[in-house]
Amino acid sequence: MRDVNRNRSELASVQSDLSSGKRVRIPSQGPTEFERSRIIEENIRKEEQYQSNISGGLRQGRMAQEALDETTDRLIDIKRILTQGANGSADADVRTNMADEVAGIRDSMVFTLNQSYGDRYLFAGTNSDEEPFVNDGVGPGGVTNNSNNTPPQVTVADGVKLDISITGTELRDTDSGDLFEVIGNIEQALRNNDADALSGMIDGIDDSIEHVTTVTSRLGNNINRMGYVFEQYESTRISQQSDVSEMVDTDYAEAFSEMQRIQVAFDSAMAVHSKMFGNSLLNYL
Amino acid sequence: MKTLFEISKSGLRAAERSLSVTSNNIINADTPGYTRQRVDKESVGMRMTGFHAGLGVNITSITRMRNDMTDVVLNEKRQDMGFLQEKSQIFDQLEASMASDSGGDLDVRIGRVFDMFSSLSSDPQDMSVRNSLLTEADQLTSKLSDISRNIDRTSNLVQDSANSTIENINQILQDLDTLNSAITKGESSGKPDHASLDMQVKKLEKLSGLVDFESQVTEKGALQLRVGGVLVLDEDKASTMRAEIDDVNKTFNLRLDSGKLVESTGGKLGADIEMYENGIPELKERLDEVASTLVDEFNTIHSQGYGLEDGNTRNFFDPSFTDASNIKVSDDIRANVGHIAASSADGEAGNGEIAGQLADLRNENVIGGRKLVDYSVDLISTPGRNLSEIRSGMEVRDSEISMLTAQQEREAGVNVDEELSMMIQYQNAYQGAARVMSAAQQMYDTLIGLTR
Repeated sequence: MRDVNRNRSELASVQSDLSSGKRVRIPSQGPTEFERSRIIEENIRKEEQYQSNISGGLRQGRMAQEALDETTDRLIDIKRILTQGANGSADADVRTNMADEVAGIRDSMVFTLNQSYGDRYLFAGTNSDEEPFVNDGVGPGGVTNNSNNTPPQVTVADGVKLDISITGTELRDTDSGDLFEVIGNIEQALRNNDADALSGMIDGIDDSIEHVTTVTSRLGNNINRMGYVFEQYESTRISQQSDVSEMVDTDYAEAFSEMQRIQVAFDSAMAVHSKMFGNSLLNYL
Repeated sequence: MKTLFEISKSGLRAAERSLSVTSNNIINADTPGYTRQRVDKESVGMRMTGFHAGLGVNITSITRMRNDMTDVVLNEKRQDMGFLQEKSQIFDQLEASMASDSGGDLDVRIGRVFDMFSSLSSDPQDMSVRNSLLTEADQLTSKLSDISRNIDRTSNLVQDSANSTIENINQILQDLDTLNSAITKGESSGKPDHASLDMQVKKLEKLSGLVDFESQVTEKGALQLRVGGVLVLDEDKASTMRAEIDDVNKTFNLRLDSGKLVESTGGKLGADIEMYENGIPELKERLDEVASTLVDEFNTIHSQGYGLEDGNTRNFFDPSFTDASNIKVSDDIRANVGHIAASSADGEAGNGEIAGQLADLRNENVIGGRKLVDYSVDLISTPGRNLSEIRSGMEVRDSEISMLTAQQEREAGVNVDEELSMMIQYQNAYQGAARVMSAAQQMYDTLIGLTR
């Protein structure tokens, strides 16, 4: 009878493994497997969180990158105007119009660089609840800087943080001085109808374009790195999940054959049991 | 010639007695604790001049076919089994309150709080992240207090179980005392009380599951029992046990009515006492350690940072409550999630440095030389790990008990087939004896006929 009962409970256990798809659901069903699988699951969870950080970082980084690309385009526009303005054939009226155009471009650059992601200004550093650039005519080139020099970061792996944008402070700091000051000087020289001064400013705008391109490409590197790390997590997750599965999931082929074996043992034990009880001397008296 | 009547009479009596014994065996074949009996006979005879004459058969005794040594070993195994079974039940309850397959266990709850701090470090200004962080932290604290409450409940149940086990033990000791007087009376009159002896076996079997004891039979045939070396059942007296429990220091003492302290380390009671005094408090202590580590480590970092609202520094968890039962997120933060310190500098809304440091705590060995999540996995696996070990031990005990029971059954159990064949044998013996008597009667008749 003990054998019959044991077979019955083994059968119930295999059936539960099959129906739930899991061999180890609670620690007592396999303490080592349970512990190891939970620790791997914690690692998977952590990496998924890093992936989520990276996704957010990528969205912000790409927005910042677009804004920087646009800034470069605007600077090229200014260079084009500057080159035309430095040409001796332009007269004072034309240069005044050009100065207005440069001022317009500066305003649109300020607008672009004040872009926010949610309620976070992308180019304000960690001072991101304030507009980084205020077109108030007070700061250098007429634009006040509210950004600090600490770039916003996301954690992409244990101890690894990547910048997801460029601070306004760094962006303005070109080899030829403050970016908006360079633009402001060009505007002023155009208004002054000073062709000589304008000629001397071409290097300045070139430096500015190069500076913005350099920081954009650095941001691009970070974006690429984030994308790469994201993909790496995807592939390690597959192997980690298969480790967990091997430890705690039911091996269907094995479970079915085990069920078959127990079923046969159970039937035999029942048959022997009932046969034995049928045999008695009482039947022959 | 008269001896012929005496011989046949003794034969009839012996056959009848044997039949009654074998009938009793058959009828009690399925009576729990019944020991089959056997009639011991010897032939009676006397030395006559020149020859030895048989004078029939005499019943010398009725023997119980039981191996007392097997009973002693079996009871020892049952004590072990009772101990393991009770422990397995308690660990089963503890496992159910600590680990599940639903995915919301302590390790996952702690991991999610770290996840939210990691999110916050990337998006320090996002209020929805802050709200989710508070929700996760609340779920973690309720998980800790749930587990703590369940452990306390299990401890109370174990205490109740120990008390009811003690009542059972006292009752059995009283019953054994009553049986002792019946058995000693039987022994002194030379007519062993087999029914009482069988009941004694049954009672000892029951007692062996409840408590560890050593047994001894006195010259008078009375049973003496000792628990932890202290006499609890003597020839003429049964002691009563009572529990002395200190629920604060988790001590459980057993005191006899004589005032002596008894130590039980086996059976159901031994398991209850061990779990009440050590097993359960150890788990509780480790759970409290998780709570106090969370409070200390989080507060140390959090209180160096700044929220979105002002330049004040704050604790994340209320430092007045450091046990698993009462841990909670500080009221300031509950009132305004903007106070969660993500920034390492006042006024920098986009600074997630402190949140990042809090998220990095998940990689640091801050508790028992391990990471918080790893330690929690180990903690919630502890009852299951013990349970798995105990179950292996129980399987071994179970097979030992089955083997010994089968051994005892062969000795003491009733084989109906054997008894039926003996019944036929005794019927024949009776018929034979009756035939002898009838032959003797005919011989007398013949003799008396001669004198007429």
